Amino acid sequence: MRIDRCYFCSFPVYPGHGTTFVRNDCKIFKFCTSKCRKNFQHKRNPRKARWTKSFRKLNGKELTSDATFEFERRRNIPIKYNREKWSTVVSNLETIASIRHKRESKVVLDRLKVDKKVKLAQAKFLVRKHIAVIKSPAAGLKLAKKVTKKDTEEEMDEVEPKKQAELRTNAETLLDDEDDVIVRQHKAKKSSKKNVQFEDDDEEEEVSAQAGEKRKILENMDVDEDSDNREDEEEESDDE
Amino acid sequence: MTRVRVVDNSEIGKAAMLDGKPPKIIHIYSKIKYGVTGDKVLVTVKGEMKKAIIVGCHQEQKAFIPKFDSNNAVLVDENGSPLGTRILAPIPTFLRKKLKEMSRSKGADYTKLLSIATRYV
Repeated sequence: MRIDRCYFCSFPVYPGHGTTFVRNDCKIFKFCTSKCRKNFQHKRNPRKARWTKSFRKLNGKELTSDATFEFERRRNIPIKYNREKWSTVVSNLETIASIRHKRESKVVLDRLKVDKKVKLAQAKFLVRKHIAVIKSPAAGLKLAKKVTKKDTEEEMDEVEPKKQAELRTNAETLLDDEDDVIVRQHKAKKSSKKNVQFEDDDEEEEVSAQAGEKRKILENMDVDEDSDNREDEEEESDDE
Repeated sequence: MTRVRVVDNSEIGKAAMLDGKPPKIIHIYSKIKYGVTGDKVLVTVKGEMKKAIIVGCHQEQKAFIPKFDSNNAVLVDENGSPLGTRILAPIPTFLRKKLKEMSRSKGADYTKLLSIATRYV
């Protein structure tokens, strides 16, 4: 009894499974399933079929040359039966298999580690490219708004109630977007501390600058509105 | 009526293959219509009638019998001893059992051709 290897995919073929094919040049091909057999019949190269062992070994996806493989090599010279030898071989089979398994998995894990670094670099690049999504140009607007609110509360009383409502809704809509962004940013920071790393000094400068800009814009907005209203009232009163 | 590829190194077989006129099966010594690996067969080679044993089929056979790229046969005489001295193609190990059974009933020893085989499948 012998457990062969499928010619196409290198899977073990147990007795009672698979098919054998003998070519006219006396080369014997064993297949584990009809899938492999049909691929062979369609003249497909196993080294190009990504799911086969031969492809994986060729492209460095798996452990290729190792001492543990020597044990599995085909020996055409029959060995005379020796009870001791037989028992030792059987007992060592398990250990050899476990060692080979460990080495194979190490190879796979090393490959995955490389991928991690690659992904980190890609993520960093993405962040730098689309920084506007994470940290909006109007970041720090809430703070600014709080400050301006204190200033404008006194001014707001002089403005008409309709206008007050309008201003408030406008501010709210603006603020809502900003809040969402800030929340997202916060969540992102919490969940993936490793991926996203900002240069802190630059960030602070940017934020403060943007806040200052926004504050100015708001102040100008309120002032203009008030002046317009006052003019209207005066005109009306004059007319009357 | 299939034409068969001679796989041993008998003189007649070699000559026939070289000429491009491989032997033709004219009768199968079994109750079933179609010949299968291991069947004895009557064959015309070079104007003569000879016995042969089918050693491999292109057709899919029963389980545990390998499939070959061509229909192979080994030329044999009345007593079952092969005409050649060596068989070049691999021979299915299944024949060990089959030829033994054939030999038991007939009184001829067909298993002799297994001894001249070089390779088994």
